[in-house]
Amino acid sequence: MAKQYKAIGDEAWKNSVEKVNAELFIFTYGSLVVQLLRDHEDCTSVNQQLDKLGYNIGVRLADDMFARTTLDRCPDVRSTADAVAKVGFRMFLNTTPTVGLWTNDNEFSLLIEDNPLNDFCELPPRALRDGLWYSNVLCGVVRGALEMMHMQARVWFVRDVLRGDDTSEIRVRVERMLDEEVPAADE
Amino acid sequence: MKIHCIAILGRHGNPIYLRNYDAHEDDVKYHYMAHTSLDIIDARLAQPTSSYLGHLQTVGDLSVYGYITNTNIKIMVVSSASNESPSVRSSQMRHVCECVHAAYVALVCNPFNERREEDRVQSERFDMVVEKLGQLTE
Repeated sequence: MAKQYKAIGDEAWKNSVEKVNAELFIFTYGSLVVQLLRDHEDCTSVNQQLDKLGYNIGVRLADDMFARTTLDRCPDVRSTADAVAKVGFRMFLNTTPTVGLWTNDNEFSLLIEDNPLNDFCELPPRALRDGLWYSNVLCGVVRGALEMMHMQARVWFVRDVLRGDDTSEIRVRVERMLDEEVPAADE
Repeated sequence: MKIHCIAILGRHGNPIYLRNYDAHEDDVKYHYMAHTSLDIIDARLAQPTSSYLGHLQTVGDLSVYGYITNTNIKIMVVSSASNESPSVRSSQMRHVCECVHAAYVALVCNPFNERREEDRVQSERFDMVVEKLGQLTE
């Protein structure tokens, strides 16, 4: 099952998505974060804004992902996690986080080794002190995408290489399934 | 061959960065050397050259090698004489200059970097890279 997701992700990256220059993307994101810091002054509210931005992106990305791949409905949280990591992240960021550190079958971590948003970035001391999570937009994206899949989740950053940790870790806790009418399966 | 100093000067000849690897020498001496090398660089620029300018001048037992970027940032490396042939030394110096240039580009690309042309470089990551470069060729 895991291999299947990896293959779907690789195939989608190669054929189904248009690519944009990496530097353009990361400089745009960097300027966005810097501007937010200037406007808000307080790192906690910047984190919240990034999360909101990510949420709006995530609700749209979920449908986009299903339009471009052959994914079926995921039967449980574990395969959802795999789909997010091996297909979603691979398609849109060309990086595949490792899924791990499961607790209770509904809480897991995404360990991101090489986050492209972090290239060239060096946090100033003030941001380090005040607790800025530079790539917090990713948490919002995961939260928004999971909500489109009718899972309410809490997503937050645990570790970040920009803060000096050895790897970046996003923790996802699926809190509950949102009520929905399940359509009869077509296949 | 030992690297004694790596200096970076801006477009208007203003010092942007100086890393002195000698504990006993004053920074002033290397500032002065970098500044006098500026005239030589200007003379060399009269003819079209590549980024790496090669050996600029020799002061006592120290040689100064220069490198200029497309944005007119000048990188200078001061090293003491060595036993290798000129071409080996030249390629080593070129390598050091290119690494400094790459580190400088990474610094400029940092979205939190708000320095303008005239400001000095203040970055831990840049300091670490230059620190390692200095030990590279000992």
